Amino acid sequence: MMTSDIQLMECVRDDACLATRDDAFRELIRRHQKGVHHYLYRLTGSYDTALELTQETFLRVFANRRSYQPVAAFTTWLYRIATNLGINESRLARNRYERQFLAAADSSDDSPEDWLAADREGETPEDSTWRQQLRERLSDQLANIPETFRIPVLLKDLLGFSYEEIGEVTATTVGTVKSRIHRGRKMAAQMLLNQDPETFQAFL
Amino acid sequence: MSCKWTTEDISAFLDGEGSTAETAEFLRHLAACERCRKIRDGIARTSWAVSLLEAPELPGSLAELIVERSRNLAPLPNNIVSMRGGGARVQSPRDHPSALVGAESGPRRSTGGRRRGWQRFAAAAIVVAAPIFLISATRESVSRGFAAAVLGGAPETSGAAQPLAAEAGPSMGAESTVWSLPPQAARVVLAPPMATGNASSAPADPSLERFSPVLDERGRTVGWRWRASSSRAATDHAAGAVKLANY
Repeated sequence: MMTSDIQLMECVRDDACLATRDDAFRELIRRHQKGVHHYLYRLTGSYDTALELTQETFLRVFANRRSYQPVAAFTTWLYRIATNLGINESRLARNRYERQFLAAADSSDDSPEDWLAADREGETPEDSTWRQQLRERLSDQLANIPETFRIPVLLKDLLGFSYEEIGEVTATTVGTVKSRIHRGRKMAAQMLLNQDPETFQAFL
Repeated sequence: MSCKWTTEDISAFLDGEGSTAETAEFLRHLAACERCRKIRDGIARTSWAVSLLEAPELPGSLAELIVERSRNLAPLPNNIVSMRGGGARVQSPRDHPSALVGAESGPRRSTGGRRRGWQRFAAAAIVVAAPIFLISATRESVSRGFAAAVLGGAPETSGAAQPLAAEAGPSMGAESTVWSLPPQAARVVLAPPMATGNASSAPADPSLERFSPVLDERGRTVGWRWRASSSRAATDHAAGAVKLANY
């Protein structure tokens, strides 16, 4: 049976497991680093920023391990930390951006999209046209969805959280989560409208 | 025909968030309502498009880097691992403050170009705290064997806990050295000198948090001695100042 996240976190917290604390912590990181980084990447728009914040997220988990209580899913706690870091960061980035928006406008050359290029190699041929257009379009445009709506959509559609869990991560009610996911998806559908007008128009 | 469901409701149904009865009613309705079917398809496709976004590859060394940085967060006390099966248990000091002061101890930074985050975090690290390293085993009797303290997450921690001669290197952060304490050592209050002084102004700078083991005549660790890394560091520490300019 696989050791649960909560069990691992308790090992990290209590130093009382047969496995050493570092091993438990390393396993927790390995399980979640990709998801956390992807989430932060979509939140901040920067691969490098997301990488730094991913480290910071796990280090905060570690620094606060003594206060960990397994009342909720470990991931809820983890993503709450990541969300706070991500929001903080993109707020700073937005301020920077507004100061120099002319320089940055429409220059997509430095976007970190080439990171995605490596992943596309494994795709089947029929997969690689329309689906890829959809993905690229959304990848480019996602940052235009305000965080308030983007965060719950990412938590739902990228990471598969339930509304209740998203409510815990974002400190909102389930009703608010429902409404925000809906509005966030509407914005996403608007961006994708050209790719498949008939389907997306029905939603809008 | 008018539909009682909003697109928001349909979005929630798709996510499996409606009640069973409601969802069943909606599904019956779908069979008869083309409008709702189209809405459902539009939402489902949007949700699917988001899920298509691919996670970028990560450096393979990321997990190890974070673990290493976590060790530097809390150099000594949290690295003392209580042993099961060794017959003795050294109580681990709780809430070593350096565990809370920030992530600034990592000697390596992965990618350049973003110092702001670290500086912000470093600011939090200036919250200086007290390294209270009182390790007392009075709660649990030391009955037999030896208490083994494992520094830096030694991967191999034999339950027998043979008393190894402590080859006390000057730095004791991340090495996988197995330290053994004789039973009586568990009663020794292991307090670095700084902890007894100005308890609220211990340095957050990990370079200041260096301890060397105090060995008994048989080379076994019975305590820890504070070593400031330099006289300047000691001065800074005495003044309660923490230099984080490099971060």
